[in-house]
Amino acid sequence: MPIGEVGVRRRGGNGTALAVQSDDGRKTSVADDTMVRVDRVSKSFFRPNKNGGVTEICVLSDVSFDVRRSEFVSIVGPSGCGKTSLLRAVAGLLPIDSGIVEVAGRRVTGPGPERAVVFQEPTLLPWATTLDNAAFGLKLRGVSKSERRRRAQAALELVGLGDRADAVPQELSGGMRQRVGIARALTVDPDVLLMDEPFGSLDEITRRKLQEELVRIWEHDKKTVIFITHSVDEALFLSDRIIVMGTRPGRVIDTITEMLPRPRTRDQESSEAFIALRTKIWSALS
Amino acid sequence: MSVTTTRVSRAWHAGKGTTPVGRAFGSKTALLYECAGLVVGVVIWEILGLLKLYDWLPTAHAVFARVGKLFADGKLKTPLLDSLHNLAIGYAVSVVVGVTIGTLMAVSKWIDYTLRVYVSALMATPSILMVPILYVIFGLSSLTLIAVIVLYASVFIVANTRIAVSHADLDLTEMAQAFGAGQVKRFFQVTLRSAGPEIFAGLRLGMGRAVKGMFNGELLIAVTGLAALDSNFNGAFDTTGVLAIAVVVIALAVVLTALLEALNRVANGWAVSKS
Repeated sequence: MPIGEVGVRRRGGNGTALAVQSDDGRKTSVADDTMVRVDRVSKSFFRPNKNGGVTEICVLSDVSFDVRRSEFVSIVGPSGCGKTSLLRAVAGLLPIDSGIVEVAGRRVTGPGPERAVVFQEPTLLPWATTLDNAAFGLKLRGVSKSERRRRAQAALELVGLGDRADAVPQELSGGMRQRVGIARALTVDPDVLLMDEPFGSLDEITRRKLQEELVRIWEHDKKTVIFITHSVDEALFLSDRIIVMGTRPGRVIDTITEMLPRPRTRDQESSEAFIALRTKIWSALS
Repeated sequence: MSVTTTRVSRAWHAGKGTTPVGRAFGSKTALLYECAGLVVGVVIWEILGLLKLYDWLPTAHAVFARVGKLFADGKLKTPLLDSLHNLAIGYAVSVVVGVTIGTLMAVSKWIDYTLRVYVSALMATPSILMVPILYVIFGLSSLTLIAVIVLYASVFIVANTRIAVSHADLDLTEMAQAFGAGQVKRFFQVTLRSAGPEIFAGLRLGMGRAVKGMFNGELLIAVTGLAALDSNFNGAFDTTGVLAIAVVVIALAVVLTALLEALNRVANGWAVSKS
């Protein structure tokens, strides 16, 4: 039985720590600023094979990690290591086979208002303006038109698209569309921002610019971020912590906690510390 | 038939200097080319008529004059209204039935499995084969004519709606789900909206088929409406009269399809369809 499933949760005497006890008596201390808890999560897909049977493809095996409030955590790994499946599980879009995913102390059973997703592709409504796209999440939640337009406009200002509110997605560049996707996620004011390789399809120049924009936005209100990427440099530039995943099956193979100090600059990318961290991650990946 | 939604009308979104009426007409260049094509066709017809290459072929101006005379004499009014009455009811039923069944087939695999053999069969079989059966069922009444129109039009609306809804953008649907949209909201705010241009392509196709069904039904069963007039001219070897009715029927189909296209531009102006 995964930890906590029938367990008892107790708040520490000073209110700063939690103890999670599973039914097998194992006890784990968890800091109470834990925003996301992924505990022994496994997921398999089944595909028909040539023999008429099914082949099990294990995409996640016993994956565990925590993300603290306001922490920016990147998950880096090769294609097929289950990064996106993991993010979709946290988003509540993919049911898991075993384990627990908790966000803000509540078990994830589906999408929830405390989470917002920025997808790999911008996935904007082609019939809606930039403003209406940014406000879409609020519309689904029944927020009044004036309120959602005000909040969407503010989010667009934050991502630098305040003057493109009336534009339609097809009039925007790839980078701008992705910024609208970020604005849409920020508009609903989530506790946790889940970003699935949001810059993966962009050219290098736009990508680096948006990384800097993202750091600026994140520093604005320090949301908890889980950022999926296959770029080691991107993870090093953005994150407080990096979770390195391996493939077949997808699992956590290393966690990098000693990061470069903030604020970060591009000059740091040629520093010895940066190169050492990059080498360490590449060693883990290979 | 496939429809791609590749280009977006800027004006549609922002209302930059356009009205719904302006949007409905679409591109002026396209309209000019369409008119030019019609003029060229009529000029060729007129020349062939003047050259008297074929005894049976009257000039274009003679046919258009006959159309005008039929209207002026009031001989066209009652048959045209009869035909339009049946067409309006038959097409409305076709839209409701077609869109509903097509949507149900797209969202439920069980309904799809059950019905798709009928849809495929009806699409492949000449609808005219079924007309005598409808006559037996509904008898000599306008109900039979309406049923023929529904038979002709609805199956194409079903097929297009089924494909449109089942091919709706899944990424957008998942995005809406991630932001908390339930199944109903996802369907109405994303799936149906995303499928709109292709559903309209089916409605346009259905309109052409409905006009065809209207005329065939009248000709085969009741000999009423425009078909009755056509039959009279045919019996009298009056090719000018026959062609005048043909012009009226063609004009009817073109105008009704253009009206639907205009409606499509207003409702789905974000997508310029190429069918």
